[in-house]
Amino acid sequence: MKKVFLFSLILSFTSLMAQTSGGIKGKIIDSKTGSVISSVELLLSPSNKGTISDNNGAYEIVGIPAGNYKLNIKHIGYVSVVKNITIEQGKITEFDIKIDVDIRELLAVDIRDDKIENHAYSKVVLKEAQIEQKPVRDIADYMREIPNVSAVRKGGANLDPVIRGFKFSQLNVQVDNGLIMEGGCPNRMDPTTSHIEAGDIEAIEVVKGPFALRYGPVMGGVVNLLTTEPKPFENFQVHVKGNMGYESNWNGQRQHVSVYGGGKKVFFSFSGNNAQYGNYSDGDGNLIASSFNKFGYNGKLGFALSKNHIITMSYSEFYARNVEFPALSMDERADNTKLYSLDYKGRNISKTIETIDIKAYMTDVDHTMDNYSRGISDTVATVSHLIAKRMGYRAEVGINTGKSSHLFIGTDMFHIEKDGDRVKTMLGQFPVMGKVPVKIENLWNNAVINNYGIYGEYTLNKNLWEYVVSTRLDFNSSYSDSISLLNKNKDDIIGISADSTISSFVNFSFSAGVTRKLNENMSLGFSIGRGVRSADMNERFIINLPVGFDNYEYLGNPFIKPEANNELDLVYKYRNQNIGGFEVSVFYSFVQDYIGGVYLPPSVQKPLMQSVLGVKKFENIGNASMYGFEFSYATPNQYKWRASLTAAYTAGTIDEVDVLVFDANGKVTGKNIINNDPLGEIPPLNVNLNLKYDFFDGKIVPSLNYRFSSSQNRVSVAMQELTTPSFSLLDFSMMYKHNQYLRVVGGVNNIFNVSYYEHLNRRIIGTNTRIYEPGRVFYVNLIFNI
Amino acid sequence: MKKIYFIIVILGIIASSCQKEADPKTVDYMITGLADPYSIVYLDADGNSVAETITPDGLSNKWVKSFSMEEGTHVYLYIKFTEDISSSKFSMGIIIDGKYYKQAKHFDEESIVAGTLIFEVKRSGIVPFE
Repeated sequence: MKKVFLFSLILSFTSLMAQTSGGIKGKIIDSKTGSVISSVELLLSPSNKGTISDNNGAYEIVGIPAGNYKLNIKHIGYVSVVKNITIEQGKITEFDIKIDVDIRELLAVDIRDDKIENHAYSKVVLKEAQIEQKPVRDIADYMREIPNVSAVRKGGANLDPVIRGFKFSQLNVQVDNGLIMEGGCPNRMDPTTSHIEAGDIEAIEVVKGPFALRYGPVMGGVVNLLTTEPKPFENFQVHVKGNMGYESNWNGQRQHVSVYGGGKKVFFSFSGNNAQYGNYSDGDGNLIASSFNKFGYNGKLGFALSKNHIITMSYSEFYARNVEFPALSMDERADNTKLYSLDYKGRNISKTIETIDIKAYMTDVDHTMDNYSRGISDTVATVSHLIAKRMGYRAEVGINTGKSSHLFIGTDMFHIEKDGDRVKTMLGQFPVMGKVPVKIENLWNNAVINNYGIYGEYTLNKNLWEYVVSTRLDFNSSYSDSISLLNKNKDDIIGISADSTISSFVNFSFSAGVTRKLNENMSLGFSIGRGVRSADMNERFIINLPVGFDNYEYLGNPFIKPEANNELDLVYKYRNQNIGGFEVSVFYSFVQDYIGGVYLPPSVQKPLMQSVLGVKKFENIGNASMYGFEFSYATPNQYKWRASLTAAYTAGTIDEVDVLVFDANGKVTGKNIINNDPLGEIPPLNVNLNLKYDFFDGKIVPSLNYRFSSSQNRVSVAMQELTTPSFSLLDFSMMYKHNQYLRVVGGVNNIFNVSYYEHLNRRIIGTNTRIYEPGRVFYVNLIFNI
Repeated sequence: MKKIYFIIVILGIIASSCQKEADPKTVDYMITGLADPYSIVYLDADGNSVAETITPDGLSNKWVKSFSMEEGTHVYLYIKFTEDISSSKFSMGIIIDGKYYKQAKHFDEESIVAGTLIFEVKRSGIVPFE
């Protein structure tokens, strides 16, 4: 009896509540196209109840007491809207909401405009409009504007990105969601970012941490370079777009032109680019060997099989000539790169299968480098020629698993082949049997790496919570022909037979994240992940080459274990229409089986070059820890004046490492073990302040940028790393928008001609002098789109 | 029409900025001042080692070999001889575009082979980039 009474009471109460409360429901619609929009955030204040529109654009918020409320509607790429609504007692009011595409979002000028998605980890997107207004001669150079992103400089161009202290193969740098190229140079003269022309970039996505597992094995972060896609047009049309720039100091000029257009069924984009830069002077007037010439072209053809099925074919050729690298023993004489890609995109396949993305690609790099500009070439003239090929695919299906949940499952694969040799003409020796002596040494010997991966990512939005879980399994194997090195007596001092180079690993990675919208203005996200990557070509197979930033030759180790990054991230975001938006991220990484070099005494392995201190072999040298933060703030869009402030810091240590002891003659006499040695090549604290003002509705926009980089005294003792002093820089630029077709941007970087170098700038070879950054540079960019 | 003119101007500016290939350089290998036959080894424009025995003609006692070579090409001239050059006006060297790049007026190495004094001298390098 009591139970019946209690049940009746609950039923009556619920009924009473239903009668006193109400709600709203409807659809979110694109005001221009009329199509529904999913994943739109709706938040009712002051009730703090909210929801996300489902795959049909439908939303519903119920159980709200009658009264007046504000409904906040937000979605990336669309103008945020606030509507006044009245909830009526016992009634679910139905109304559809139309929202407008936000051009400013699509052509975002500030980095902070793109941190809108409520991911539990840090993601930054740089858009085309930001890139084309700067003198971008190198993509990695430009990416240094992102907090906690730096780059290793060995010459004027072809910088190598570093994210939160993770670098080289610890980062997954790719093009167009899956195309990853293998550079030719063992010293990374040609990282992936150097093979893509800035003018072809539509957006750069940077995801920090081991969380984006859909895009291949990842440890420190993903950099996704999205190039311009050909798009269908309602009526056949052709457009021309271009960017021409000049920089003083370098006396450098670059041009990029693309022709794009088409109709509904067939559409295209073709582009060409050219850049010629001379040597620049630093702030003290010293000339730095930094010249280069790069040119190339790119063609894409799209076919719309139907509205929801598109096939795209892409082909690119990029060339580099005479690229100087004063930090290395050689310069890049010629680099010829070919990229092939075939993509299929399917959308709204069925009620369950929402998306299908398939990509097959191939990259072919032919790389020649020599020491002809070095004094030693008079006695030993060295030319290295390398061929690096990579092919692979990525196939992914997006599945609708519920009203607010989604599942991606996919598979990817890559196959890398690398071969190369070093030819030394011994010009310093007398001829032997009437011939100038020539030595040929293998750098790699037909080395191969294969990787097969399967992955899944599940996301769920429930009220004000977003959950993401992803896992990944990689099957990685490698082998090469025999690894040998003949000494003067023709004895093989390495002597690893082909059979002994075979290795294989199974790598498991996972990540999980949760984000909670605390109220209409703020969210808090937490992620945990483990990203595993197997060793790269250098770490497994290189034969006596100085590939580190210390002065040692390195020997590969075919059996080296994979590295694993275990990371925690906490991300707090706040956004207010009157105050602005800011984001704070903190992270902690624990890296297991960190890959580094272990010294080999001369009795085991002698170096080939006299100028190095000895030979190190790649090994798993222990565990490392990294931690740090990023902060960014920007004023609201609505004001004519705008300011943004960013700060970032990373520190890292290795738990135990050998430090060599040298005598007065530079010979190794022993070694000590030190604990918690700082990791090498980690940039110091960096703070950036930018101020700009919109005159005449954005027709003229001047901008002032101040940057402070603190000194870096946390340096690796084991790697004999040098400290770096602090510096401050001031830049000015002005954008003039003549009309919708033409813009001009001009400015001056390093106004006070400060003489400085970044912590990650390497030493000029044979010296302890670092490569200095350019002094004052005046630049102008002409951007047109017809 | 204005758009077409604009595009043509832009394409013209781009075309004019394309880099020309560097002109090849004239490289001369030269030996003077020897009266007796001597052996030489040099690298030609294709990087091949060429070994020859030169018999001076007695008139000018000058040997010259010229090539057109690109920047970055290896240059190498080696000579082995037995005569006493202390009172002669011996000179050897590599000349690039009329200017001496590497030169020698004395021997580098002296050795005795089967009772005979052998003198050797060599000059080498890379055709410089501008």
